[in-house]
Formats: sequence, C-alpha cells, structure tokens
Amino acid sequence: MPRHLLTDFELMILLAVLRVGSDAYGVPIAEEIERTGGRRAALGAIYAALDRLERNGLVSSVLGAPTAERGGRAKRFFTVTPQGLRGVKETQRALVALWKDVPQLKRGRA
Amino acid sequence: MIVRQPSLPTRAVLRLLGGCNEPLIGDLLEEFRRGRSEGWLCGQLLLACVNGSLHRRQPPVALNLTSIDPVVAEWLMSKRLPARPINLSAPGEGIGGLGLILLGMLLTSVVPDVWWFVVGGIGSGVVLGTAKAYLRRNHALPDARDRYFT
Repeated sequence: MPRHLLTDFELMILLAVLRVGSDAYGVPIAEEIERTGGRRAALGAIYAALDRLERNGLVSSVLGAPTAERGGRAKRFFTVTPQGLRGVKETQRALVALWKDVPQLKRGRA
Repeated sequence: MIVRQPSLPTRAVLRLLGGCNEPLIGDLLEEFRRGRSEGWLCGQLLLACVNGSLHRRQPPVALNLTSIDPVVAEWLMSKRLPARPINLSAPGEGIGGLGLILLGMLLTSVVPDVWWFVVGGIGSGVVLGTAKAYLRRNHALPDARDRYFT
C-alpha cells in the first residue's frame, strides 16, 4: 500500500479530530485548530479537507440528529480511521526525521 | 430566549442553499448564533461556494418513528431510493447523441461519401452509452453499510 504523507493542513485537521475526541464536528475542530495551531481556518476549507480525507479513507463520518440551534440541520461527526492514524504516525516520523539536526534550528543559532 | 437570526437577504440565500452540505451550513449558523457577525457568515458562505465545499449532498437523516436505530433506518431508507435515470441519448456531458446523429445526417447530405462516419458515430455512441449504463448500474449508491458495519 502506498504511503500517504499528509499536507500540513490535513495533519492539523486529523490531530484536531483526535484531540477533540467523540464530539468532533466542524465547529470544535475549527476551534481546536485555532486554539492550538494559532491558525484560523474557514469552516468550508475544513469540510473540503475532511471530504478529501474521507475519500482517501483516513476519516469516517456519521450524521447526528438535527437541532433547533442549527436551524434544523444535523451535525456531521468525524473519527479518524486506523488508516488515518497510520498516516499521522508516518507523517510524524517523516517530519521528526527531517527536523533532526537542521543547523539553523539548533539551540543558540539565529 | 431570543434566537439571533441573520438578515432577510442572508436567510434567503441560506434557503436557496438548502440541501447543500447541511452540516456545514448548520455549523456556520451555530457560530453566528454564538456571536459571529453577519459579515463573517456571508464571507464564510462565499468561501464555501468558491472552494466547492457546499456541493456535497447529504443523504436524508431518517426520522426515528420506530424503535429501529436511526443509523439502521437511514441505511434502510438509502436502499429504497430509486436508481438515477440513465440518459442514453446523451453519452457525454453537453453532447447529445441525437444531436450527433443529426449532424451526421447533415454531413452526409453535403458529402455522401462520409456515410461511414455517420454509421461509425452511431455505433460508437451505442457502445459508449451501453458502457456508461453498465458502469452506473454497478456503481453503488452512497453505501451506508460500509460506514456503519464492519
């Protein structure tokens, strides 16, 4: 099976879904990315990325019940699949290996 | 408790977008009701239109009218949806099979020697349409089973 290294945005989204846990839908995922990553992402962009991840089998989604607060629209809850978790770990391994011993990032250097 | 509502034009746009990625629109409304501005809401809708994330159509959420689990009910409803009609007269996007035949007939009236072109076009159209029909019939509907059952 070909290895799938994630883009930075996909990685942030998968990590946010993992951090949020069972209640991971658009709003808390966006909040988690903003809170931890310092990056404000448009909800549409997050959904586009999640659709792509779902097509690639890295996340799965289920529809919840509609609520009046959301104008009668259901929430879509996301979970990371085992394949997605493998992708996150592989990307982490690749990035850690790349970061290691970079002279400009070593302590004391500008 | 007064629920904060967007302005009339925004509500009209949201009604027009009904059926387009309901969870995304629900999220945007939820954020709006928590205090985001209307300008933010309109900007997010515009961005969603531009990046295509409004195009996804969700399967209907089954009403929980019985004791059946809603997940199972949704799967059962999805299996009862009729198959999409297959338009055999338009094998390609924007290209009508009947239009092609008409073009071929006009061509042969001007240049009779290219009759083989018309026959070949009709034949290939039939083959293409049959192949598309076969592929569409075998292409599964959004299969809820794969999501819920392992």
